[in-house]
Amino acid sequence: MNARAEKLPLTVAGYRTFELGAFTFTRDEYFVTITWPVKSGRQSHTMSADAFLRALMRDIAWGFFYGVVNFDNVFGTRNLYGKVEFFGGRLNEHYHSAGMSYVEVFDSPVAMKLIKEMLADWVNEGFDPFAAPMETGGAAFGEKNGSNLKAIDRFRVATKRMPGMKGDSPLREESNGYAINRAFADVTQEQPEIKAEPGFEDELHAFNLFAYLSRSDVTWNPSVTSVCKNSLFCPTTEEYILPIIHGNDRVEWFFQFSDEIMWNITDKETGRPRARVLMKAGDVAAMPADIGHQGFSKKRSMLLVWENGNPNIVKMHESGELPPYPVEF
Amino acid sequence: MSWIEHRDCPAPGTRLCALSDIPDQGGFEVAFGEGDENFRILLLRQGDQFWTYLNNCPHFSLPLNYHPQTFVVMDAMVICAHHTAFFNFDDGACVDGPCAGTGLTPLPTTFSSGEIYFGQSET
Repeated sequence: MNARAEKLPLTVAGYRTFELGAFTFTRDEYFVTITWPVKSGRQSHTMSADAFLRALMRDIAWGFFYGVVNFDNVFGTRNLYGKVEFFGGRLNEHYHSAGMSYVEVFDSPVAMKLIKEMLADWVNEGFDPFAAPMETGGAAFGEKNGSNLKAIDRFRVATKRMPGMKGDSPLREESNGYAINRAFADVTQEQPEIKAEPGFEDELHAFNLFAYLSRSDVTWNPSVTSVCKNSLFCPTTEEYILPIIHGNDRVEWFFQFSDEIMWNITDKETGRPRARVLMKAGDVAAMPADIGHQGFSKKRSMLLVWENGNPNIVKMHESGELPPYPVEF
Repeated sequence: MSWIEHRDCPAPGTRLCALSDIPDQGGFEVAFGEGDENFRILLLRQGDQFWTYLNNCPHFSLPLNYHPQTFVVMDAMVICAHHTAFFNFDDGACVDGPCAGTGLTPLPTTFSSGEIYFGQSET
């Protein structure tokens, strides 16, 4: 056991303590505390346990996603595609300029295994980090109380072309466990009529995307509903706060399908505020590749996220071959 | 579209590589055709055993590697570099990650005198 581990209790309030490289992670009844080394010793950072677990859930479910996943304006991860950077204060210009930032790079599977253990241990029975606060209450808090593996290991849809196509992911129905969410009780469930030429029955497909989304059992968790080469349509339903500040490494298009979301837009590298954007139903926005964004949805809303899956696009942005925005005005 | 209909799918008997080209406990890619939609084959090796799959992750339909010939492996699993899906070497099953429950597409091969050749599809 090294010197740092000797000073850390194995558990706090029944929750295990974790280490990843030089980072330490502890949680107690209300908070998660992360520490990392700095010149003057160790810097610590505190987050509310429910906010941390919601962010951790997304980082795990999305496999470190695209670019930067800020858990808040201090701590987060950056996907290096095969490796992953964990940082404290690095994308916060005040921490960084004060010498209080730290970055360490890990092999992605090693880091993923550890944070999955952390989530499994730190999520109590009755707390669903994918759910809106009004759906899951305050079970995140208090001393360790069981677990909720069913919620954190729930099936995640992987679609080859489109849900409902032969051999592809299923449409959401009552019979496969997807009830209509309380916020979308008025959404029509009618499905389109498909009349295909003989021989094309398995090739032509359509479904009611609003009905599909009305049965989403998670918030802020896009799932793929169409794949066409590098075009990935990833709609999702949103309520309360996007648990992360996403600093994408490519342009990401947002289509607001219902209700509204307020977005905080910040500079990706410094965290400086850049804009506030209110998206109402029918609005379309392109989130540039050099920003961080965090959304606030006071009522559960439907959002289509359109991702560019081209793995070469990161280098094209980094080299300046592509500007960080899609349109030159 | 099935892999067998791919325009760049090699003919049965086409040489892929030598077993020794594949790093032990690692992966090696052999590609046919040009451009972003060429036919990419992933070969995985553990000692004298090897397994061959389409180099295509079922999560977002991307190759499993981000850098050329750089495959992330751990405990007889290959891990997609993009979003950390874990696949068994021996059956291609995705056992963890964003597309758990799916799997890599196996490809047929034959083996002779240390050389690996593309095989004949049984379908």
